[in-house]
Amino acid sequence: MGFLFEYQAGQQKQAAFNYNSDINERNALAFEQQAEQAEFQSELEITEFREQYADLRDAQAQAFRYNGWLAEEGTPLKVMLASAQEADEEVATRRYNAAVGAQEIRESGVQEKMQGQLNRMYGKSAATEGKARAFASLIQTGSAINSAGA
Amino acid sequence: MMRVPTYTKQTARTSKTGATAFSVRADPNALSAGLRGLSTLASAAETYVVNEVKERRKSELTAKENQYKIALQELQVEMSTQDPTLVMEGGIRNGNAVKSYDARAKEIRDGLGLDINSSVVRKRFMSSATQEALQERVSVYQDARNREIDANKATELQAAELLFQDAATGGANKKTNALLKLFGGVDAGGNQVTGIFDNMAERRYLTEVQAFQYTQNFKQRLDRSDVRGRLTAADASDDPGQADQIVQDIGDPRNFTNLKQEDRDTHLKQAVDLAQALRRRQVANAEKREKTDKRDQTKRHKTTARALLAKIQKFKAEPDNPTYKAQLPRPLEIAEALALDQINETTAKLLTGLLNDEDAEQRDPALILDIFDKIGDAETPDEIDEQLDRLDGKIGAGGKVPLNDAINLQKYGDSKKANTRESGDIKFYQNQLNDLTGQTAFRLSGIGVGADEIKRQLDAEDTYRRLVLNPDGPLKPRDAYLEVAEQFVRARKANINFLAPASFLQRFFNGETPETWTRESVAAARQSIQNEPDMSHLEKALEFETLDLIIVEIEKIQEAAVVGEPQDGDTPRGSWFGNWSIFNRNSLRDQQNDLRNPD
Repeated sequence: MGFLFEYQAGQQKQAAFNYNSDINERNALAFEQQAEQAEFQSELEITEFREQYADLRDAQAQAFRYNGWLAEEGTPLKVMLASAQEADEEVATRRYNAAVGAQEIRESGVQEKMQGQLNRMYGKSAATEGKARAFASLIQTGSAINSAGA
Repeated sequence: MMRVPTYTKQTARTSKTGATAFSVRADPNALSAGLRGLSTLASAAETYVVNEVKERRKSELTAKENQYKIALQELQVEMSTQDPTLVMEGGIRNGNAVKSYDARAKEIRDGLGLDINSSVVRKRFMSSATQEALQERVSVYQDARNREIDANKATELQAAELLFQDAATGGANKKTNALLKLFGGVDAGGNQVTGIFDNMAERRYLTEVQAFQYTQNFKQRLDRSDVRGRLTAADASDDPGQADQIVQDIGDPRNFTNLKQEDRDTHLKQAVDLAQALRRRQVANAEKREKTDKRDQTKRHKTTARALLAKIQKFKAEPDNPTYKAQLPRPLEIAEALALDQINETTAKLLTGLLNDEDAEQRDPALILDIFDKIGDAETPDEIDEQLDRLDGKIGAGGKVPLNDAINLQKYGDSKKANTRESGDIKFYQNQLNDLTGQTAFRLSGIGVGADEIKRQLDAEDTYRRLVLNPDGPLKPRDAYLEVAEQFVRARKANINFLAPASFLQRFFNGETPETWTRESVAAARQSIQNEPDMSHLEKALEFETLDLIIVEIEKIQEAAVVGEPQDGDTPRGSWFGNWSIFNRNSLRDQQNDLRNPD
């Protein structure tokens, strides 16, 4: 009867590993959502920044005009272009930073997935071990009986 | 002038790469657990296969070893009956080559080995079988050697027995030679001869102790044999003196020196007992001789007396027969027989008396019938002789048994002793007749018949006896039975206490009843009997007796005759010959009784 316990032990080990694997996958999914949320938050901030910058640009054009300068040519234009350049870089930097942060989070998800896969492999291995031990036990019993019978 | 705002980027680019160091680590133990399990499984499977092969080989080997052991046991049994030399070395017997035990064992081993497919098993089997055969070989060879020695020893002991026989029963010369060979000594040529048992000890068939024991044993046996021989001779001689001499010899310790004391005591007692037994035997033999002589004498007397009586009886039956007359004993012959102790004095007197026509004046039918009956019932010759001995003193003058009856009874006794069919028939029809006449019932119950019936029954039985035992020509028992039965029934019908006359006499009485019989008709019947050629003397005598009885009856009737009743010569009322029936109750006598005794 020992073979039945061996088999059952293997099955239970696999179930434990599979459970862990499910947790890992759930964590990976959470990390993915977290990464997307970070990117989305960054885009929201960028949109808000663009609105703030539009206000700044309008204020800049108004100041130039107030001073009597044509904002659409010459130095005012260059100044405005330089600010715009800065703002674009700001957006790019923000996006870059958000992407890096999301990537970090995704990496954690990947790690969880990998852990999950490992757990699945452990489970399969444990099940195989249980079956093999069960068969081994069965064969040993059979051999013992045969020897005893002989 | 209004200040113009400008924008400078606020956010610095992060130095992070977005990559992180994975902390995930694969556990080799956990990952390889399955394979380890499989490894365990493989190991178990291998172990199983190995064990299986081991077991199979072991099983096959054991099976073959067992077969070989059984074959060896059978071979061992076979070898135990073989010539020991052939067992050990093989050879030729009855023209056929016989293999030794080793060769046979090897043959069996090789034969079984060829059946084994596995070379490993075959090698192991061959090895163990060889070992087994070697172990068995020891006992087989030991047995063969023992049997060989035993056979040689048996031959020598048999020779010793033969020598013992010669020493015990042979002549003087044979005895001397046998003793020399048995126990050794110096022969006639002065050569030293070794005794057979010492010789066997030298050849290691016996130990020294055994040789000594055998020698002593044979010497004791010889002495015992000598004593027994002398006892036997004394016993055969019937001479107590010889037994007395043996007692003296055994009592002397200088004789039979090898006898053990207990044997000496035993033989001494045997000799004493023998001496006493021989003395008793002497006395017994003398008594026996005397008895035998007496018995022989009695037998001789009886035989001679009966022969002489028969001659006299034949002569008396036919006095005119010259042969019987010539055979008639003469007085001198009787005297010689007496002198030679062939007959006793009583018989001599009887015979002499009979020759002088002296026979029994009376006849006792009851005694004669009783003897006749008891002879018929007798089962042994002694019982028959016992009945015949009752005739002693009853024959001749003063006796109650006439010679004829005596001779007839003696012949019946002889016939019964020989268990002849005739004697069986006589007894059978006698019983039938007794049943018919009512004698059997009377004998059993003692009631139911009157005196006249008893007389009639006795007459019927006596007549039957005389007819079947008639020495001149006996009737067959069945014929005698029928005749007497018919006469008996008629007599009962006529109410006469003797048998009625024979049927053929009816014409002389013209169917008359006894009351109307006349002396004339009786005389005519008597004449007719005398002229009847086919009737024997006995039958005639019987009829004459009947007629005599009729005359007596007529006289009685005439004496009792009363005026007015039927008288001698009256017309009969009916024929008693024609109407007899044992079932006819309305008889003439009944009617007459009614007339004479009117109520």
